[in-house]
Amino acid sequence: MFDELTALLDDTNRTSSHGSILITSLDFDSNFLLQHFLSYSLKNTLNCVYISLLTPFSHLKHVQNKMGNTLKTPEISSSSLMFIPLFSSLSDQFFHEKSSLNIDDLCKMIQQQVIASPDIIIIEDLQILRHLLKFSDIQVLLMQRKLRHLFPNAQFITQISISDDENDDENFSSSSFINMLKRIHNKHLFVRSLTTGATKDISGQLTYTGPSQSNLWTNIIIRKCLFRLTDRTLNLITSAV
Amino acid sequence: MSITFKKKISSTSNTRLPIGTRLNSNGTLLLTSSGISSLDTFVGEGLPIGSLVLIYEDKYSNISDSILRCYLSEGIYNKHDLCISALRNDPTENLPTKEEYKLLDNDLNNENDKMKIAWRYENLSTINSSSSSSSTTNIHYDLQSTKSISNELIEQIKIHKLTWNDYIQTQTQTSISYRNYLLKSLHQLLTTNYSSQSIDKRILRIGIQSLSLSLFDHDNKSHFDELFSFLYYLRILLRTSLATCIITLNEKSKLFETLADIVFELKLSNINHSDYIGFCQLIKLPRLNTIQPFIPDTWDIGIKLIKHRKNIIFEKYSIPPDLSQDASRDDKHKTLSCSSSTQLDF
Repeated sequence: MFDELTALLDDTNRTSSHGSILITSLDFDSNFLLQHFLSYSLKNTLNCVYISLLTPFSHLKHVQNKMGNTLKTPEISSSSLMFIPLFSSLSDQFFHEKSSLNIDDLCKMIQQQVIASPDIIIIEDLQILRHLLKFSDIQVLLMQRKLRHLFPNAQFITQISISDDENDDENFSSSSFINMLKRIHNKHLFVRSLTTGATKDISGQLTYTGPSQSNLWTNIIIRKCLFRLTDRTLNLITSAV
Repeated sequence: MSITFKKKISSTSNTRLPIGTRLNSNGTLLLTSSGISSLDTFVGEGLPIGSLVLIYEDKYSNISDSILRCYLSEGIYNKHDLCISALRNDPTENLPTKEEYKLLDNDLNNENDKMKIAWRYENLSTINSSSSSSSTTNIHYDLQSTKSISNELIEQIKIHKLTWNDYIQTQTQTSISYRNYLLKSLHQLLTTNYSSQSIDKRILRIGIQSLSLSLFDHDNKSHFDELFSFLYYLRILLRTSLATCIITLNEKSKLFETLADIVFELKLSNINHSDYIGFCQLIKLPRLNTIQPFIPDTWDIGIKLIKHRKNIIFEKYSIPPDLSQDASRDDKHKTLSCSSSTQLDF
């Protein structure tokens, strides 16, 4: 896991299962953040469910190996990681011409494959559900609600990617959808690329929005920084602007 | 200070790799050449097996078609099977032939003789930024070749063509879009013959030309969704297959880039008397089995035709220096005189 990111999120004192995190990205692959949370849960022996819509297990295995965690097999066992390859089910449904999946089918599929009460649930890119299965914003939010109802004690890490195309498209009003998602998550991490392209010193920009820790009232903290990413480290660089 | 150790890859492991492939420097990825060695250096030593490459076509699709042809030719010379879908023209007609030439020692010596000032560097080898520094053998494909690839090589491989006529024939039984027909054909091909679990490790090179033509649409209103679905399911298929796929598109969308592993855009050069016929902008590089992808020296690449416009090369695009007179310093107001000025202003 990335220590500087952990320090930024102040998760070392996390004791409760509340405090879900929304990860959004604009023209940048924010998968490294999911890898961070996966690594965090493995190192702290927390039960983690990884709902994959795109990433195969072999990729997770190689990346986590570099981060110091050993993943053996994707089969569900007594290990702390429950890997759910939803992409296999979607692919199977398409190529074998089965009936299309709705939200209840997906939630039921996830529930059947979760064997131990999860502490963390990581959900990969929700955009795939919107564009592939043509779920509306309401349906995606409903799915989030159902999963929270099924696993009330879990901390949700939800990823969604945004593209510039959607800002002009009337049917995909991402801004209102993102705002709705932010409401049901406590913390928000936004990652974007540099307009000039990544260099070896700076990979992109990161913005963290989260609640302050005051007992009297809840403030919102916003921290913006640049970051440098390698296979093993994430260095946060405070922006001079 | 960070110390990194590179895993030593044993030479015996190369004997079990499929023909025409090699491991990357970390030993975590199986790579194959795109057919253009200078392009390989910009995308991280080659195309990963199981990856999806998107190319945004240039205006008349000349450069994208040339890249596709070199990619297919490289497959034939490396005994990789081919699968092609193209409606504009058949890329397998007049595929370029391979040319290999080595940098002669005389060439190196001649360059060293010129070093009258930097004489200490006479014995060092020259470094060519547009190709691998460790290789003195450059492989290029002759795009203007009148000769065809020998039949002996072609007979050793299988070439699958997914044509419009084949699609029309299937329409009598079922009614699906051309893209869905392509996907189902690729699914059958990849799962039966080119699965990563198969004993016979043969590589399949898939080339799909101009996938975003609206001719392929089943429903014009869901054009982007259809393309997104196609790329999504194809990517899932490729991940469990010994195959690579290059798709050229004539329209851009950031949505597609989330699904592809390598994305770059081609543009024609509009600068007169320029050495470059076009430019290539890298948009995305692969992150397979790693968090941080390969970072090239530059994201803007110039494309040239060399050797009488026969070979295509990619190189770092360099802007020539400004040698105009305006750039020179103006010395009129400078004075080096030590004499004190008659007028002192405090």
